[in-house]
Amino acid sequence: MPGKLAAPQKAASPTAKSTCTGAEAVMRSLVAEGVDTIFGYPGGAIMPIYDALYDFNHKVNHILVRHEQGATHAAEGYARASGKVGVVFATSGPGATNLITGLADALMDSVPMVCVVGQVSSGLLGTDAFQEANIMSVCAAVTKWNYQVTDADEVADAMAKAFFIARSGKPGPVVIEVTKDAQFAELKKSFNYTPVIELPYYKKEPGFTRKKLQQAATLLNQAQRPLILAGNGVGIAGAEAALLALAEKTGTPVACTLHGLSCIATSHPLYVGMLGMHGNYAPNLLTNQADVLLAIGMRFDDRVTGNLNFYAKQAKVIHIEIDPSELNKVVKADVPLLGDALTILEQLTPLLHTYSHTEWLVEFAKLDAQEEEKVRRKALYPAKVKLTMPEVIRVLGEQTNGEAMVIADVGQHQMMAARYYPFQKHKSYFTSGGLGTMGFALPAALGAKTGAPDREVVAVIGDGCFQMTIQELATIAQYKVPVKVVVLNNNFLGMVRQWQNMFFDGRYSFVKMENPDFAEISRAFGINALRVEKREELPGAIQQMLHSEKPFLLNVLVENEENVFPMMPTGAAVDGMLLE
Amino acid sequence: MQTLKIYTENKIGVLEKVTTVFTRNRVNITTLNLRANALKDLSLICVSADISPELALKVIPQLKRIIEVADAKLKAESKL
Ligand SMILES: Cc1ncc(C[n+]2csc(CCOP(=O)(O)OP(=O)(O)O)c2C)c(N)n1
Ligand SMILES: [Mg+2]
Repeated sequence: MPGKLAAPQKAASPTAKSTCTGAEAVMRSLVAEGVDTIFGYPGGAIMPIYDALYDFNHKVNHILVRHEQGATHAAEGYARASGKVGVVFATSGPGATNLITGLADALMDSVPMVCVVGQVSSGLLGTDAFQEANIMSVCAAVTKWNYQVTDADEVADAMAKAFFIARSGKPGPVVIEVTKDAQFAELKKSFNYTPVIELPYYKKEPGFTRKKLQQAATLLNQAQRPLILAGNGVGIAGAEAALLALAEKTGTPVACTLHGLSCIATSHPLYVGMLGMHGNYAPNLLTNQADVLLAIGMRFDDRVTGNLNFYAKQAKVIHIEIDPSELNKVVKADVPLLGDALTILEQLTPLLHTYSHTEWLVEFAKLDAQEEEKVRRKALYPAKVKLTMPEVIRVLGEQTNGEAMVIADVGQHQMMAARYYPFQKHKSYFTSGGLGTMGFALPAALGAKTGAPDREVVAVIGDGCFQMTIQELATIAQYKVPVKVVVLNNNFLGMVRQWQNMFFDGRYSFVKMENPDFAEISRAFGINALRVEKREELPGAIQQMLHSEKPFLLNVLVENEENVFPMMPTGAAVDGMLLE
Repeated sequence: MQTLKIYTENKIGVLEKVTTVFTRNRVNITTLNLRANALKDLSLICVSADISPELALKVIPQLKRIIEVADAKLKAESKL
C-alpha cells in the first residue's frame, strides 16, 4: 500500500482553517449535495479522502462493506428505496475494478449512483504504478459518465456535474476518479460548490409536442382494447398516482414489467399481471390482441417481447420514454412522447374520455382463470412433501400484508417472488433486471433498509446467489441493519437447471450444489437464523423473523426441481407462452 | 460506405467513448478524422465505415447518449 510519493502533511480539520484540500473538497461537495450515506472500502489511493471523511463522520454515515461490489449494490438499493443518489467510495486498481459489475447493473436498470474512486498520483499515470489500472477506459462502457480529476480546484465542479448527470434524465452511474496528488493538494481558490442544473449539450428532459400529446389522446380515446405496459420509469418518475388516475379514468388494464411491479397494487381491479418470460398468461397473450399499447417508462426488453417478429403487430404503440435512444430501438412507436412520465401522464389524462372496457377485461379474467387453475393454485398450495418457493412467498405475503419491500436476487426465486408477492405499496420490488446480477440482493437489501428505514425490507435470495455476496452478512451485523433474509434453498442453480431440464434434454451440467447450513453460517456472523424444512414450521418461522428487531435469516429448504411456469421459451412469441 | 459526423466536447477520453459505440455494434472503422475546435470549441470526429444506413442510424442515438457528444449525424444530412 505505500505509495511512491511521500505523503504531504496530514490534512487538519476543515473547521480549523480556511484552506481546503482536494480530499476535503470531495467531502464538502457530498455534504453540499445532501449526501447522508456512503458505502465504501478504503485503500492506498483513496486514503486522503478517507482521512477527510474522519472529520465528517458526524455528518455522513459511512458503511464499510466487505467487497466493493457489495458497495455498488448497496448504493443501488439505497438509491432505489430512497429516491436519492447512491454514493460509493473505492480505492484505485482492484477497488475500482471490483465496481464494474455494479456499475453495469446500475446502467442497465437506470439507477443513480456516484462512485468516487482513488487513483495513483498524476505523475505516475501510465507507468504501471502499484494499483494503477486504467479505470477511465474500463468504465467507459458501463457508466453514464466518467471523469478523472487531477486538480484539486476541479473537484467541486466535477462532483456537481456527477450528481446532476447521475440523477437527471434517465438516471445512471457516474465514476469520478481523483488522483492522490489532487486529493492532497490545497485548493488555490476557495471551495465553492454550485449545483449543476443544466449542461450545454445534455437534455435532461427532451420535449414532446402538444400535437403528439393530442395524437396519443386520440388513439386512446378511440381504443377498444387498450393496454398499459408500465415499466421502471413509472417508479423513477414517481408517476404511480398519475398512472392510476389515467388507468381509472379510461378503464384501461395495467400490466407491469419486472421493474414496473408494485407501481399499482396487485389487488387493483385494473391490474392484469406481469409481462415477460415468466409473467402472467393473460397480459402476455393479450399483448397480441390489444389495439393500442401505452408503454410507459419501459424499453421493450427481449425478456418482455419474446420473438419480435410476432410482437404486437396489430397494435398502435404510444411510447412514453425519457431517453431518446430508446425510441424505435426495438418496437416502432406510432406516437413517441419524449419526457418525464409524470409530466406527460398529468398532461395526457385531462385529454382522455371516461370509459370502461368491461368486455376487454373479461378476456383477461378468462385467461387468468386458466393460469390460476393450471399453475397458481398448485404452486401456492402444493401437494408436495417439501416446501415450494411459491408457498413461502405466499406465507410471507400474508404475514406482511403485501406491504414489505422485497429485494430479489436472480433466478427462479426472483421470478417466484415477482409472481407471487401481493404488492400493496409502491416501490416494493427491486431486483437486478437488466444485467441479471447474481449476488445483488443481500447488499441491495442492506442499502434499501438504510435508505428506507421505516419499510420492512425482505431479501429473497437463492442458494447460488447468496454465496456470491454472502460476506455482506458481516456488514449487516456490524451496522445492525434489520433486514430480513429468506434464502430459498433448492441446492441447485435452479434457473439454469430448469433450462437444462426443458431445452437440453435434462442433461444437468454443473448446476447441483452442496451447500453449507446457511443458518449456522448466519449465526456465526452474529445474525439470528432458523433452518426451515417442514410446512408446519414455516408460518412460525416467518413470524419470528418479522417480529425480530434485528436482522434475521431463514434458510428454507425447498423442492429441488420445481420449474417456474408459465414460460415463454426463447424464440416464442408472447402468445406462445406455455402454461405447463 | 457511411460517414458520420460527430461533434464533441474537446476533452480527454472522448474519442474512446465514441469508438466504444462502434466496437459494441461490430462496426469496423475505415477512416477516422478528428479536428479540435472545428465548430467554435467543439471537436469534429468524422468516422467512415462500410455499413448499412440502418446500422448507421442505430449507432447515432447511442453516440448522442455520450454526455460529451453535442450532436451526431449521417454526413449527407449533417448540419449543426
Ligand atoms: C453473476 C452471474 N453468474 C451467472 C448467472 C447465470 N444464472 C442466472 S440464474 C442462475 C442460478 C441462480 O441460482 P440460485 O441463486 O440458487 O437461484 P434459483 O434459480 O435456484 O432460485 C445462474 C447461474 C447470473 N445471472 N449472474
Ligand atoms: Mg437455487
